[in-house]
This record gives sequence, C-alpha cells and structure tokens, in this order.
Amino acid sequence: MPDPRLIRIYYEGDDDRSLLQGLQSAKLLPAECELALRQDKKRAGGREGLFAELAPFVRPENGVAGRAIVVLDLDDNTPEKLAAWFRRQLTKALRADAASMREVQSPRPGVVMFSITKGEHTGCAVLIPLGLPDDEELRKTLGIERFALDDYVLRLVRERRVYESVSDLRGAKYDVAMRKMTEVADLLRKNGLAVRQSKRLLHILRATAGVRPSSAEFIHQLMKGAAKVLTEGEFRSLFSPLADDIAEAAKLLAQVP
Amino acid sequence: MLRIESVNIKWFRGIREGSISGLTDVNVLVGRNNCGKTTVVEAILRLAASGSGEPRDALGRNRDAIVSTFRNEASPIEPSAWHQSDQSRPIEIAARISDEAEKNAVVHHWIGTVSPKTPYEEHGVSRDQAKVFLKGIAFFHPADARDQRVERNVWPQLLATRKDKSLTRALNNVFALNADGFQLLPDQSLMVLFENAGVRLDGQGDGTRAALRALVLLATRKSTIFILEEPESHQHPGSLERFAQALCKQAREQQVQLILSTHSGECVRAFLKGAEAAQSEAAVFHLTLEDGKFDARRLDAEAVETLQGTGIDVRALDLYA
Repeated sequence: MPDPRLIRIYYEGDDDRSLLQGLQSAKLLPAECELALRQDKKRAGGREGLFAELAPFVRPENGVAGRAIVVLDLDDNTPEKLAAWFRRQLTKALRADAASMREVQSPRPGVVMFSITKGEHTGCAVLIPLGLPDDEELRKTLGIERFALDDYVLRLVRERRVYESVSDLRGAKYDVAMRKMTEVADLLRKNGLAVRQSKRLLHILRATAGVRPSSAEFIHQLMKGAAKVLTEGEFRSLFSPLADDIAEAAKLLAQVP
Repeated sequence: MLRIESVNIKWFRGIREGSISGLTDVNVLVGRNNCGKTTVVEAILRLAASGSGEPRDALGRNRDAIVSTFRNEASPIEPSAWHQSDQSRPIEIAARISDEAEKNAVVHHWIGTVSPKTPYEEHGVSRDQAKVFLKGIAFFHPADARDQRVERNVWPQLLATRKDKSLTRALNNVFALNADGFQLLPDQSLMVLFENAGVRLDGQGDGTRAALRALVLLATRKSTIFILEEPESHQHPGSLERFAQALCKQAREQQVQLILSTHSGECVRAFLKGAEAAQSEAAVFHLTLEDGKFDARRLDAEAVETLQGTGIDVRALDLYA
C-alpha cells in the first residue's frame, strides 16, 4: 500500500515555484509531493526565511516531524560544500533538536537526507542541489560557472519548439534571439563584465525578445509551452537529473518510519 | 499559578495508552473525528470528580456522567468506558499538576479496579491546593448556551465579587451592544438591561447566549481549568475573535487554564490571537489515535503561525506525519 503521508517541497523563491509547478503539472513529481507556500518575503525571504519555515515542519518536537525535500541552487559550491552549509543552517534553525541529526547519503550525487528523531517521531529533509554542473555545453559553449535553477530554464528556452510556443517571445525569432544572447554575453565578457550564470543569459534573452512579465511568469509560460510541444520523454530528459533526484529523495523518505 | 501540565491515559475509551503533555495557559485540541478529544476532556472531568472529592460541577452535573450522557450511556461505569470494553485491566488517568515555582506535583487516579499503588502522590503542591484546583474545573458544551442553570447556580457568587460589571463590558465588546448591566429576575431568568428596556437573555441569539453563559461560568472560576467544547458554535467569525479575546483576558486575570477542542480553523486562529493579546502562552495539540495508541503533538503559537503561513492546516497534520 502506498505511503499516505505527503512530502513537502521547499524552495527559495517564485522562479523555483514556477518551475516546480510545471514539473508537477507534467507529472514529473511523485504524486505524494506538494509544494510549500512561501510566506511574505519581507518576513521570511530568501534562504534564511526558508530555514525558518522548514524548521517547524521537520522538527519532531514543537513541529510536525514531517518529510521535506529542499531544492537549493548549487551556485559555485560543490555538492559537498552545499550539504555542509545546509547542515549548519538546519542546525541553527533547529537549535537543541539538531543534536539527534543524522545524515544519509543517497547514491545520487549531492542528494543527502538529514533526519531528526525525538522519541517515536522522526522528521526529515532531503537536500537536492539545483543546477547543471555536468552540462558540458553550458560550461564550455555558454561559459556558465555558477549553477542554479536557471540552468534548466536556459536549457528549456534553447529548445526551439518550446521557444516558439511562448507568445511573449515572438518579439524575436528563435535564431536571432539565440545568436544575440551569445553575442551580447561575449561582448560583456570582452569588456570585463562577468557572465557566469544562466540567469544573466536569460536576462539578455528577455531583453532581446522584449519579454515583459516577471521571470516567474516567464518560466510558467515556458513550462506550459513545453508541456504542449514536447513528448513526455523529451520533457523528462530536459529536467534530468532534477526529476530523478526528486524521485530518489521521495524513495529515501518513504523508508522513514 | 497552578496548572495541569500533562494527562496520561490508559485503557480508557478508545485510548489503550497515551498522553498529552506540555499543557499551558491556552490549549487548543484539534484532530480528526474519533481522535480522542472528548476522551481527554472526559478524563480531566473524571479526574476533577475523584481528585477533589466533589462529584458535581458548578451546574450541579455529575462530572463522571457529563460525557457519558452525551454518549447515551446509562451509567458512567458502563463497560464501554474501558478500552475495547475489556474490564480485566484498570482504567488509569494520571495527571501532573504543577505551579510555576514547583513543577513536580503528580495526582493519580484510577477508575474501576483500584490500583495497589497510592492513588495520590504529593510533591510540592499540597493535597488541599490540588483538591481546590480540581474542584473548580468547569466545562462548557455548545448545548450549555441554552442552560439557565449557569446563571441560576452562579449568579449570587458573581454578584458578590461584582463581576457583573466586567461581564457587561465584555458582552458589549464582543457583540457591539450598549447594555447597561444584567438582572436576575425572581423567576430566575437573566435580563440584559439597556437604557430604556430590558431583554431576556434567552430572547437573544444563540451566539450571545453562548458567549455570555461561558463568560459567566468563567467569571466564577479562580486558579483552575475551564474546558470548552467547540466554542465557535453559534458564533459569527467576527464575534468569535472578540469572544476568544474576552475569554483569554478573563482567564488570565483569574489564573484559569483554558482547554478547548475544536474542528474550526477560525477558532484556532481566534484563540491564538486572544492568548497573544492577553499575554498568555498558547499551544495547539494535534491528536491522533491509531489502534488505541494516543498521541498529542504540541505546537506553540509561533510554530502554528509559521506552518499556517506556508499552507499547512494544523488540524490535518496527520497528512504529513
């Protein structure tokens, strides 16, 4: 019988939410996963706010002892460094409860489960690093060195059928937009301005095509378009390894009593 | 301030074994149907009867029988009081009562087969203190909104302490009325007095009757527990919030611990807000009962607020754990 308990996915911001919602609509998230809402950014913004929200969910005492998946941008960390930082932040947020924290390394790189037990209750959080550090094209052709959720967005928008399915991108033809994106990035680099993140390339692309909606809305449109024009296999492959990491995290969490 | 800190229950009703601990000033019990909310309430009421030596409450009801009556039982010691009707083991209800200075007083009581252990242990809180605390325990059910015994039994006591004045203010505040006061008529019906007229309390809506009768009952309590089942019954959400504030404020002033059970999210929010306004500590307890194993997960107000902000309904924590 499937585990009836829900798993909550925590994330950093609106862009992450849009992307995860797209994955959920495309059934690339396990059925037992639900997305956490993020509170008012003024009260609990960014990564610090995320830990303040996560703590009462996973804490076995004065908390839910729930099971969570946390997706965080890898940035310029290694997965090990990110896991160490995550452990420190979670320890800080859990205070005394962190004493019983245990770590379980998954076979998938960077996917680590942290569990906290008190009495009969165990709460868990599985960390999934976001980004595509192993994508040679991103590294070599596009010069990306800091990895994040935007790597997937860039991968998505570079797919011609997806690009052409989004009405807000009709301001520039696909070939022109892609060419200008790399040309402008190169120009910036020649002038000593770093373009190390997919996010900056996406900014250039949005400016080229005259995309006005927010980046979260832009991602929503891309995900919606992708769902229409891509096959299930193509969709999954674009979101590899993220979708597989989330499936692995859900499997790890299913083993928690 | 004396307060009940925890209750351990064995072999009582649906509960084979379990406890609720960390009870504080304002305690909100939530959970699915048949999770043990009423059983916890009944356990405390039975403890009040056996621990105080006073079998009747302020309304003259037999404390052991209040919940039995809801369950349409002829007697409070019917086999159904035992878990799975198995009377071969004793029902055990044990509570820890403490005060702020001495946090280690334990009161044990058994129903049915008498335990060979001493039924009463004292460590810091005297037997007399505990007795007075337990004797004062009051219970308010939605049906009590129409029960005139509330004012008939406690009005003289209330007048003697001039609590009618603060009650008038509370009622005016909760329902935006302009009442001048109250009067108990010779036929024992309570009148709400306005500038040019008097209106029988029972001529008012159920929300007003429920709020006023609950506040009347609370007004005569001191250093004890006031239990309310579904205090949101009959209340509009706006008045519920003000009613919760009035209850929390009054409870704080009279050092009364509030325990309430509800299925309403609005009620949870109203009482957490009311407790905050009264500078009282509040906690929500999510109860679960599985194969007789009872569990009460405690969340403080801050944790509840954070969880609710991220889309978790604290009434349904069993969806996650």
